[in-house]
Amino acid sequence: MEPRSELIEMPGEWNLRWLYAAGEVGTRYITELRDHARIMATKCTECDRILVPPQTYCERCFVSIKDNWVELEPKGTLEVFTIVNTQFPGQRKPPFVLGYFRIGGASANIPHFLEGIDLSDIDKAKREIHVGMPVRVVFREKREGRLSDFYLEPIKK
Amino acid sequence: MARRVAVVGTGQTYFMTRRKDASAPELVYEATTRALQDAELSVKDIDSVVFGIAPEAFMGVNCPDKWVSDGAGALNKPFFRVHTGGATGGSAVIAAVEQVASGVADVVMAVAMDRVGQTPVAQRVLGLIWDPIFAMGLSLNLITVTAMLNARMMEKYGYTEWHTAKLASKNHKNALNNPYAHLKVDVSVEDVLNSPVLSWPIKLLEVCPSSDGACAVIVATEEKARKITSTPAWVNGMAGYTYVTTPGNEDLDPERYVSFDVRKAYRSAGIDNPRQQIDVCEPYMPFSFSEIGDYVQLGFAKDMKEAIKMVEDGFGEMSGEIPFAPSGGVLCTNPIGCTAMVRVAEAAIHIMGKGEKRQVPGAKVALATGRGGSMAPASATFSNAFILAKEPR
Amino acid sequence: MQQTGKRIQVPGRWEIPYHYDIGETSSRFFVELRDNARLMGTKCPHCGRILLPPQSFCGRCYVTLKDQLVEVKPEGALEAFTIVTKDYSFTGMPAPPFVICLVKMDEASTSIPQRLEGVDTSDPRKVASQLRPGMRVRAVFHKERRGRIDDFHVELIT
Repeated sequence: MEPRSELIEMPGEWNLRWLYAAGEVGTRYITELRDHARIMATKCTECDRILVPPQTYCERCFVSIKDNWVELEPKGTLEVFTIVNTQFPGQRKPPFVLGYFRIGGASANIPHFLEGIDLSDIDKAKREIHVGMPVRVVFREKREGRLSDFYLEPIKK
Repeated sequence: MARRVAVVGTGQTYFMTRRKDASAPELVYEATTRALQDAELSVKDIDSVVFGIAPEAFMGVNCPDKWVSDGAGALNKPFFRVHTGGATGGSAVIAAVEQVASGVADVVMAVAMDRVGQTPVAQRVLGLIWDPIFAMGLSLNLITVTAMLNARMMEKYGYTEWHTAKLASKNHKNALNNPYAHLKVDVSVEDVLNSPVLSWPIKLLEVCPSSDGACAVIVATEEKARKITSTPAWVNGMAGYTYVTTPGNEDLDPERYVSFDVRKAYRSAGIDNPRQQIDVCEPYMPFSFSEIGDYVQLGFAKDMKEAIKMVEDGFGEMSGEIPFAPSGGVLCTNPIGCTAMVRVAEAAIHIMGKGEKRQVPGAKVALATGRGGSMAPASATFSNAFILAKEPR
Repeated sequence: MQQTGKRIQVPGRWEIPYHYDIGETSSRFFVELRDNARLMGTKCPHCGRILLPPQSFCGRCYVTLKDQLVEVKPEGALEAFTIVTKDYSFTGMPAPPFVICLVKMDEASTSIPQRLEGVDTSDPRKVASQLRPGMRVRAVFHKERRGRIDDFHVELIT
């Protein structure tokens, strides 16, 4: 398509700030993580699923579960992973391993980074990491009540 | 459905990363005028408009439905916007069909648009769709999350990067026959395998582009459809479904991830042997690997083992049993909020015999699907499915 | 993290840059403005309306206006106005005080928003009492123009 004249492009930007209300359940989860290095979940009284991050309601049974808390043992398994090799704007510098982890026998998996893997040889790393790999939760000294307050690493035999 | 409904016309814009020659209302106008021309109708014949666009943070204009509504033909007519992520275009068709089936309107135009290329950081926008309380700061975007799903399936079911590359190469070659497709690159399996790894195991040529463009689909009641065109595409089956994804193990497993919407659409359309009865499929597939799981979820393969063999045997090739994505599919063109409507338009094109170089000869029954959302904490996948046919049910 | 008693709020940010492709017709408007200090509209051959800013189709008649560009004389009437005062500074807007208005050029069928200058904004109420819809205004083109809507402003014709 030959343009008949100059086609103009105008720059723009969305530079917006937010303060997201964590809510009652979110506040408890964040507080327990930050102040007590504990990962807390809620359990559905009807279907028995253990949900983490904790939910105020079970969406399947459609009941409130906000007062039914359980603490999760800080270890579990790697369920899925990817080795991120691209610098996406605003995201972590690659390479790094991103995965979903089943922690403390919960029914839901938590997304997080897997640390402690040598990524200098990606092919070697691909063979070392596997679904079902046992992992432990490591809490950081200084915590703010965010997912970055802990990370996962393989439990070495 | 109360009244029979058919697609009587479709229109698409030429898709590319940036349609520098057009503003948003102009893109919409291009698609709607093509659809009206296709149906030989004027905008006066349209009773109502349903419009779809997904996150407005791609095009950077808040509530863009207001800006483009006159280009969508909505002046003096009822109008509303729908938004279900990647399924948006399909949901807009569902809303349009329901208006006709229920009798509130006789002729409705569904329109969808997206301009994913108006920001240089589309994946950053997709990194903002997660629950802000628990999931921010984790480098989640749709490529990294989907890569995890693919990696797990590879491990569990035993397919390899060769299989996903073969499917990608097929889609890219199909797009060469589609004048509207965004990416038109003639790539071999080797080319795909050698393309840069974005987030292992997903490679650049196995992922969709960010596209600008619009689409329109006009649906009408039986009485009007028969007067408007000699080749209506009857909407014999249509269903929507929502999967809420707290990612427990069962959510990551296609053999149990039953496409309830597709099954419901099959039932309404009287399809009990999909492998025999479906002639062509336009699935919602931004990543090439999902075609393998689709063979199971759409009822063509009984399990993943069979599906993998079907990939090896070329089941979905143009020369195969059921061509998958003759248009090149979502892998080659992805204006996100619009894409699911393009699937319906492409399915209708085969039934109406307007496919030209990409036409599946003699196609009588077509399947189109839409998907929006993803597998992450507190997320959902919105899903829809359509069966279009030469004969009404 | 912000905490008020038992309620936690999690901060977030959206920082998203854009390059808006404005299209052929809108580009023509800005090129003519920048290079020739002229205002261009599009004329609909069916309803006769002249759209300023120009549009490439008429939303009422649903026809294309791509080749129907016409020059619009830069004089018209004030339709409506408001004064943003020093009392309030809106995020992302220029520092107050300033006057924004809707202007309908005589040769156009639609109004465009624009800044009104040349009035003493130190006493907003005084200005407000002096401005009335219907007052004559003209476009004043700036010496340096970039091809943006602020390449001109309007002033009262006294």
